[in-house]
Amino acid sequence: MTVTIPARPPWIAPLVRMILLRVAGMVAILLIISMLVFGLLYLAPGDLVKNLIGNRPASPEVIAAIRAQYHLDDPLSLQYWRWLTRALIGDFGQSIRMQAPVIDVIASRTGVTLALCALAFALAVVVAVPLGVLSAVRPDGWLDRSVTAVSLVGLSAPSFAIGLLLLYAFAYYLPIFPVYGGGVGPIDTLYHLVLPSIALALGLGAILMRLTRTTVLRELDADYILFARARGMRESRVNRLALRNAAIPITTSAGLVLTYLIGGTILVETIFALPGLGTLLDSSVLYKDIGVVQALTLMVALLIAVITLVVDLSYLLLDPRVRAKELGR
Amino acid sequence: MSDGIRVERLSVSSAAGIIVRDSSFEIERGKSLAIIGESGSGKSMTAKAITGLLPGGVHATGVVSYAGERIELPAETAAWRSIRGIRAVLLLQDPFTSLSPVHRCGTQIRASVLARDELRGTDKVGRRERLQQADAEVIDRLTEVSLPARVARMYPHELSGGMRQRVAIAAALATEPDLLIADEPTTALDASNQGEVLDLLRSLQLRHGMSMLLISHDLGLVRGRADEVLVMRDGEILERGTTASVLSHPAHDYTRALLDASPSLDRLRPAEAAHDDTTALLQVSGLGISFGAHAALIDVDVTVGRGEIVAIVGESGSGKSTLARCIAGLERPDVGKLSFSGQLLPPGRRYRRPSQIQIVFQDPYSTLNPMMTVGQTLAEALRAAGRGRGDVGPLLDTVGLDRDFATRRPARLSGGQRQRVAIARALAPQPELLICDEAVSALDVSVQAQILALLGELRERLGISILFISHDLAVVGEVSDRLYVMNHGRIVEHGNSGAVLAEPTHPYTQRLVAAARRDQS
Repeated sequence: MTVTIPARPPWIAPLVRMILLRVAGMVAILLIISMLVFGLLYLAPGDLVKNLIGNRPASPEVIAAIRAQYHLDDPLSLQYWRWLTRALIGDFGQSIRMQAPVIDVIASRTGVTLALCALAFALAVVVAVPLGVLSAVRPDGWLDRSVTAVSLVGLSAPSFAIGLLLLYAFAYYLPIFPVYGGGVGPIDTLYHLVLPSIALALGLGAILMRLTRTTVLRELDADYILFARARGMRESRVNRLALRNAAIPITTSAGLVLTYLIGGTILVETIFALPGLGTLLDSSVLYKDIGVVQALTLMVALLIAVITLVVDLSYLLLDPRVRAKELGR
Repeated sequence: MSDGIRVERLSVSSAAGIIVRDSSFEIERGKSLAIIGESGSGKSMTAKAITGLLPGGVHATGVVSYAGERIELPAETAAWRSIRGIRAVLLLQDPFTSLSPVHRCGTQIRASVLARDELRGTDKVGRRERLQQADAEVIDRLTEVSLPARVARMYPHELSGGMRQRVAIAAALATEPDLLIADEPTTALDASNQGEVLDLLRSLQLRHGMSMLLISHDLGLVRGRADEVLVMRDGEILERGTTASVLSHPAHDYTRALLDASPSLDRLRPAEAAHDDTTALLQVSGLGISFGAHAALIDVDVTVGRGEIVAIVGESGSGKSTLARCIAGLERPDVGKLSFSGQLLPPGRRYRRPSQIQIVFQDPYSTLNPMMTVGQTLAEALRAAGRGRGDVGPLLDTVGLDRDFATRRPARLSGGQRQRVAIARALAPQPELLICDEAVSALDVSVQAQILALLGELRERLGISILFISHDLAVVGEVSDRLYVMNHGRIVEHGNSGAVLAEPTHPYTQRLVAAARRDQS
């Protein structure tokens, strides 16, 4: 037989091109989001001047001075333009509420939220993926049934309800964990984050576990699994083969779950009174502290865009067929 | 006899009924046995039962002995540990699904090598050394199936069907089994590849002194490639004997019917009077289309006369389906002209009426909506053509189905019945041209013969023109008046079917005809 196998074309240039295109798209989206948030806050009820003055009596001169200081009488487009040109050189302005640079305010809160997200995500992945595989290997076994029951709770109960339940159970009746606060020092912080991250991870883990179970179950039905068994490969190897093939849908859902997680922290941080970005966003919106809200939403949007890009790039790594299609090889 | 394989009183059943009934057979060491049967005969379930790979809900009873090692069915999973990969390996039909798409071919063959060493307890050396040895062996295994060493680094999707099946064969043989069970190993491949792969299997079987169980629906294909033949129908063994004697003197009526039903190049249709081009229904001229850098069709000219059956023959990737899609308006050609009844037919579906062209596709299992009854499917097609649902009955009559089929869903129909429904649906708008895109390729030979007869009958009765697309020269020779041979997007030869197949002039056609003849005699 004459074998003609096409040579693989170069792949670095298409990869760089693809990433550049995606990054350009991300910049465009961030720009649009910043406009939306700016406009929405402008339209939202409430008055920054009243928030600043509080209950003190104020003369018209004071009010005018404040309005001038924050350029509140300029047209919206000019205010946005002023914010944008500064933001582009890394100056996100002052937090009106805290009277400190926005960057510093956010930086002081980021650690707790990042740690919470990372802990919850790691907990969800480390527990859910193996459980999903095990349930798929023995569908309708005792493990599958009990895991399915637990995941049903995780799916249907909102994270704040689970948070409250955990507080009652493990901080009030059984005072093992602290009720609120962020803790001091790394060990103490971790200790304070255990309950909140469990509250967050349960819902995520449930989604991840159901998805892993379904995809692995489907892969175990495939011909290549039958052929692997027919060649005498061990069951553990066969399962690994199925998991490797199920990797794409699992990664996609893990990425999605991670983006949800960032929104979910707001509720959980509020319940556990954690000094994180969620609580900061909450109070800044109420106060009309535009600088902080703008920077925070953009940060979250950027994070989500980066996660999606990483997930898409991981497809290239995980599936040679996607690689062939996207990079023309 | 003790070192061969022996199957005694094997029965397989599921909730739906008995699949295999009380079958016994044996294969001597180094010999090959072919099981022949149509779909539903239980041949694949026999193969899966004797390797313990039956799907859930299917149970087997009986005894299988491999070189004296007895296994009583049903057996525990652990009992198969000493069988699979050592005594027997099962090679599957479809090389597009039997290899993991995300692992390199070399890795998959190496997995067999490692599994074998583990099973035989010869994996005493260190892990590093073991992997090195295995990698070296992978290259040898690839050479054995005539593939270059480079294939080890490639993924299955980069290879053609024939090459993938060779990789699968290499992976199967790397475990060095006593018995290789090949379940329809070439059915998913192109005609010109089928013979090569079967010959490869036969030569490897002889070289390694293995036994082989070859499962096929095509009696003609096993000629010269198996020592003995066993014919199965509805889970029972009807006939058994040496391949030569069964093929030349079939004892059972069913075997004879199977032999008669397989299309043959020796039974070409008598040539009909040549059709005049002025009465052409469809005229394709200078058609070309490219997908990216790949030219799928290059300067294609095809004419179909009124009431004519014209065939397009080619292997997969030759562009024949793309041509059909361009004609039906599903694909927009880059250049070229289409005219229908003397009128110019612009590209795109918008310019086509349902009463002009209809298509019947290859797979009757996926082209019918499983949630709709046959009656609903046909009524929908009739409505699209502006006809009432009262015509469902006559439509079923036309394709030779009872009228009570209207209330059934596709799941309750056989492959042949489904394809009849698909044809009835295509006939609903009373089209002038029917395109059959590999419409009989997925069917059993006896069913295939019935559908081919139906197409001929429709032409006689309705005066319909048919563009018949196929990779199977024998089928084409049996059904078509004229044929076009396609290769790499070009028409390389055309003419009267009988004449072209009897005396092909283009080297490519000659090769195809030679391959088809070799498979039959």
